[in-house]
Amino acid sequence: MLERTILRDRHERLGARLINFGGWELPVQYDGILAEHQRVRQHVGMFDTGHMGAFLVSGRESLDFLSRMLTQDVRAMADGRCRYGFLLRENGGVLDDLIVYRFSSTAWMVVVNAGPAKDDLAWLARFCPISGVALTDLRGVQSKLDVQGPESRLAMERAMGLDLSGLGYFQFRRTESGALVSRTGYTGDLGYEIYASPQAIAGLWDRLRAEGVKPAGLGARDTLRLEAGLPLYGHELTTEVSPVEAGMMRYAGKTEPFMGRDALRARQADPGRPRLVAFQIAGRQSARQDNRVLDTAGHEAGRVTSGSFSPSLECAIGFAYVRQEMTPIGTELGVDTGRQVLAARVTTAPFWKRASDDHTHEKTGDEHHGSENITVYAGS
Amino acid sequence: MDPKTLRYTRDHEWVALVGSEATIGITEHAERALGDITYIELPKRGTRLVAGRSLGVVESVKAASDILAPVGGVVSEVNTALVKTPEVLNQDAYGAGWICKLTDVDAAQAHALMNSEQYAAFCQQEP
Repeated sequence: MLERTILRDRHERLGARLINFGGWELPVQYDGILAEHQRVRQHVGMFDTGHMGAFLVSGRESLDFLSRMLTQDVRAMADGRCRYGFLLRENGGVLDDLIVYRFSSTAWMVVVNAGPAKDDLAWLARFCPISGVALTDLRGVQSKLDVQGPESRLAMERAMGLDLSGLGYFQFRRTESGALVSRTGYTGDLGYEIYASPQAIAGLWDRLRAEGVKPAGLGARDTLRLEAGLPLYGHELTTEVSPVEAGMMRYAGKTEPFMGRDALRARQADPGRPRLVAFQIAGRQSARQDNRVLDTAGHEAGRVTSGSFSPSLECAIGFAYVRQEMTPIGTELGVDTGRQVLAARVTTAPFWKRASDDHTHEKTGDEHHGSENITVYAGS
Repeated sequence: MDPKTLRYTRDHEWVALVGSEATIGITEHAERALGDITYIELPKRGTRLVAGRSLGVVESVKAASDILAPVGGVVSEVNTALVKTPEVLNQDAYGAGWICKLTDVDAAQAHALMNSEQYAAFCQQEP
């Protein structure tokens, strides 16, 4: 049986197409992926993200524990801030990508992907000291929804009766009712993620609907994150690769030792390791996950991890792991779809960036701005 | 086109036959299952199509699918407007979303396909 979020019946009533995503029954689309995508880019949309995993990590040893286990420099974080990073295996392979929230030096929340959540918790528990750290799974106790798009602040302020003007990027706030509002997201747009009890999430969803906010499904979530150059676990990030291959060492660069760090150094020195590149196809025909990537001589040079038509760019875009010499910007690639070979070119991510970027005058003083500005550095 | 007068394949293409000439397209069931269509690869004029073989490809945000020729024949006209506006396939599958026209069609091949009632029943069985 598939797991259900608190909002599942609401999706069904809206006529959503429900699919299995990481063991959860979730909407892939309501009225259409393109319409939902454009609504988020131009106005606002909301997503049921109640499938995501969340753990409380608390106790006097919690800071040292998280510092050993995560790639984030948790010691340098201020209370009320969150940061993007990884949970790595000893060999540097990515067990998950995650955001860690700092309530205080003795209370944290770790938010992870739905699929690997159980493995993540087991991994943390395995290295958890016998005393001084409490690990609590928030499954069933807490749910989540995301409100994203240029009009998300207005919609959120109206629905929650809050003033969010002072909430900077990768900052969060606890409301009087106990909900946690985080200025983060997975679209590259202005947006918020809200964590609260399942009942409170259902109430907020209804209030946002009353404010005219329409829901968007996993289909739009995927095209939006791809345009924003954000990785998806199970595609760009797996246990087979590390932040080195993914070009994301800026999220694993702290000086303190942590799980997997030595392996990352060895991987950096290995010229045989592939690298993640962003690519663009001139036409509308898309590459898909697992398509073979070819060099100009027609030899296999790698594999596609994600590929889709980009509604904002009106051409096909994607990510692929390729040999290191194929990474410079402008490198010509062939993508073998099984039907034909599409001509692609290595480019920079994000593919799409929002025009009025208010991050610059809302600097948080936190150098690690999280996943929104990931650049897949060619040859890094 | 009036969907009631068309013939249908199990792969969700439709064909309208007039004498030995045919117009073909994909059904509303197909376009709904695909979702928003973002790309179509059309056959070239003059190509001889074989029934059941791929004549082109249609892609949506989430999927790619072959379009199979419902009947054999020679491509006489192609709806090139779909290249720039593939969303028309979602909006008007039986009208402006026609894919190509064929000449030299064997009418018996078309008559062997499902009529609209049979096709409606067939779609009910499909998930």
